[in-house]
Amino acid sequence: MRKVTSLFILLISVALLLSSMNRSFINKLYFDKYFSHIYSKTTKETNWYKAFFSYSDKWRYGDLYGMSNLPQYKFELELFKHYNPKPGRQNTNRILYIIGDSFLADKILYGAFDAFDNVIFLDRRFAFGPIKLDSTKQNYLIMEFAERNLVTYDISKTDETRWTSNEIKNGLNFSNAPRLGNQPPAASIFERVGNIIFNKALSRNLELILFDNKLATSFKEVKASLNYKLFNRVAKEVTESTDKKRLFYNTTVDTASLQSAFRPKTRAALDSIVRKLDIARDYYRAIGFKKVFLSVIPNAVSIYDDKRMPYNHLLERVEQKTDLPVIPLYKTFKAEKRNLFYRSDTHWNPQGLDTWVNEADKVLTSNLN
Amino acid sequence: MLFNSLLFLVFFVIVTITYYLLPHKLRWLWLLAASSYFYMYFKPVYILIILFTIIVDYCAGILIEKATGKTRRFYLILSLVTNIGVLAFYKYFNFLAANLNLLSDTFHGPQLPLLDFILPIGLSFHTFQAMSYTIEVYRGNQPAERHFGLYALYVMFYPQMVAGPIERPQHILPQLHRVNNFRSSNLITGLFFMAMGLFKKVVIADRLGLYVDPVFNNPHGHSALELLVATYFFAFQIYCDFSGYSDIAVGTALVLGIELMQNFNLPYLASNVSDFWKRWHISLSTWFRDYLYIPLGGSRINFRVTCINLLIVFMISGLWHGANWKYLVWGLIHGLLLVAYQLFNKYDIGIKGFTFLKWLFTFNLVSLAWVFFRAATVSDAFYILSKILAGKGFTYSAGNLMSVPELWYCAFIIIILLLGERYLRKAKDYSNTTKAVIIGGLILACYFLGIFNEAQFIYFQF
Repeated sequence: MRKVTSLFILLISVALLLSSMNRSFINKLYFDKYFSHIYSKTTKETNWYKAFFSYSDKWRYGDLYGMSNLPQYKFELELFKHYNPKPGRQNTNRILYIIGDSFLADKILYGAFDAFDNVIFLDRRFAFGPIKLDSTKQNYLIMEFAERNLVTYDISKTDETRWTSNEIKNGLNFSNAPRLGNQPPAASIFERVGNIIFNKALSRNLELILFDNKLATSFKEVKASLNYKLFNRVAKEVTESTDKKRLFYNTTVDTASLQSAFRPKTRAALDSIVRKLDIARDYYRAIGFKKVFLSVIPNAVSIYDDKRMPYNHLLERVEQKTDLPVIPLYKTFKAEKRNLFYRSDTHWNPQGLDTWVNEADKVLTSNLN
Repeated sequence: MLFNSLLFLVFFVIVTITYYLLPHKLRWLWLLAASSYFYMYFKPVYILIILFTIIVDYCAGILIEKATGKTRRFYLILSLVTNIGVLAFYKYFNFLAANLNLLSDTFHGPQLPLLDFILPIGLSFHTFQAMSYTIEVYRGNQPAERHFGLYALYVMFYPQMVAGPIERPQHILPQLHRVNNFRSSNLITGLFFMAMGLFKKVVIADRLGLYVDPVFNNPHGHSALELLVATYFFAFQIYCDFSGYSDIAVGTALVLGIELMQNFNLPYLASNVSDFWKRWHISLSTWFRDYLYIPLGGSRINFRVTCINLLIVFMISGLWHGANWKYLVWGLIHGLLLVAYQLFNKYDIGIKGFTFLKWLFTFNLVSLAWVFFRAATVSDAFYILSKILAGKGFTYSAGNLMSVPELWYCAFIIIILLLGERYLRKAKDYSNTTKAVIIGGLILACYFLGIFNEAQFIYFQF
């Protein structure tokens, strides 16, 4: 009996370890869990897969809830509306590109702006490019940033594959030119095997497999509540607002972080940010964009808790200093009476996105020519 | 791989069950493969370094045994030079080069290049364990191991290879040779030690670290009171971190039927510094005693030589921890404290009684000395101590690091540790059921009160 039990435990453990090493399984799991609250009714997975694997509380109630597990911040996220084209819309021969981050990722925006036939979103957090524009259309670009990401932005340090200055100088037709340059050398068999079995994320993968389910959530909530009530301690990634009504991403608050809204920014730092935006703008103009806009989405803390410490007003200062046409949001968001950000997530809610779409529409329409 | 990670939990289950399912003749191979994976998880290529020293020491052991006269000594020196050479290259080259460059800079001389690599994890530990093997073979206390795999396993046995205890071949090799049948008492006692170690690490050390690390990383931004609290918290953070690791190592090995030596024996209850070193990192203290202090003459020659030997041993012991002046100063302080203790003994000015005061005095000396160990630099350490001793700014405004209730909780749990650890240790002799209940309680405490922030064990860096 002991041997049978041991063998059973061994088999389970080996299966767990192998699963945590299987990158495609982990990616699928991550994807399914991330979108489980959105697509739960449409996925074709079997019920047991849903119950054991794809169900997740980590994102269902907001990423900040998922990090802190504080039950008092357990709010189900409202779903975003789809901005589909209005029926009978005229062809404008214009395409709007948005190179942005998580605020606009996974949103259906292709009918959001009447002045454009399509909206193409490119996620700066991942590799993409080189951008090949349709030269028969007028192409416009919005460079969108979360306020916290603006500080560290440098186009040369992103994962975007770009055209070289020689390619641009030689006037290539970007719409159908093959990408020149060397491909990175393929990894050796040892490197590939090493990356699988010595993967540094194995513990995190095991946690994703084992402890992101309803049962584990209740334990996590008890633990989080205990630490909160006894020691006023929350997960290090998260900070509570002064009025205790919402959570913020700690890097936007903690002055030790470069991304903090309360970390003083000198004139030189501001100049550096603006210079880097200009470099990006020049590149995008060189490859064929007719106009490049800047849109910086404020941190939630900059809107709802900017008095907790002296706010650095980075967003407004950059908007004033740059030559780029700007979709100004800070004042609109501050003046807005509706809640624009989820209380338990780093991102805006559907009203926030709607406000942005309206503001962007105004700026884009008045800057088309 | 960290003991306080989910990966280790799965790894441990797979390794242990497979170990007992395999026939004895294959177990060494399985443990060696598992230990290699455990080590390679940090940086795979560094296995080559350890493999190199294993080959050298394995051959040296056999050659020493076969040789006679001066040749034996030659092979021993060859082995020691190889081990110390590897240690010196990876651990001390940059320190030496940086200091020589500083000196050379004063005279506008040439600069040595600094090497850019990460220090192999646990290098000082397994190098010292390897050296103890060839020394013991040379002394005739241990026959040379003929089984290459078992010798490799002696150096690489995963529970203790990266942070000790630094074992002796006479203690471990016979245990690796013998047939270790599964015993439920070993399993329960092993799990008991593992749970106790994990409790010390995640419930005490890592919570104290939440306060200690930011304060020591920015001493100028904190008041005397905050620095004082951090100083005493660090004393317990390092104890719980390191002894927690040792407990997990002892427990993990015991589940496999291998008994490791105890590395700590309630060191903060010591009544003098000499007593402290008999209770703290026992495997390293005895290593230095047997292989350095006694060969230097120990206390056999005269009082002056004894004092010099103590200073040499403790300065080297300091440097063993890291290539930094601060460790040297820390070692020197302990050396001087021991010299002072010898002086008290020599002139018989020992005070009878006052046990509590002696304990208090020793504990405070040891805790203050830790400042040199933890501060980023020697000058930071002097700054911290001078600020504390000046006693200015006894205010607490580090609520962002730790709330006052949490500070009290930490103080409470430290007192519980000081008073209760000896009783908890005795629990290893209780019945399996009692131990299972204690294990359950410790695991629940670990989960609900533990900090799981992927914090490495402090001694891994050495």
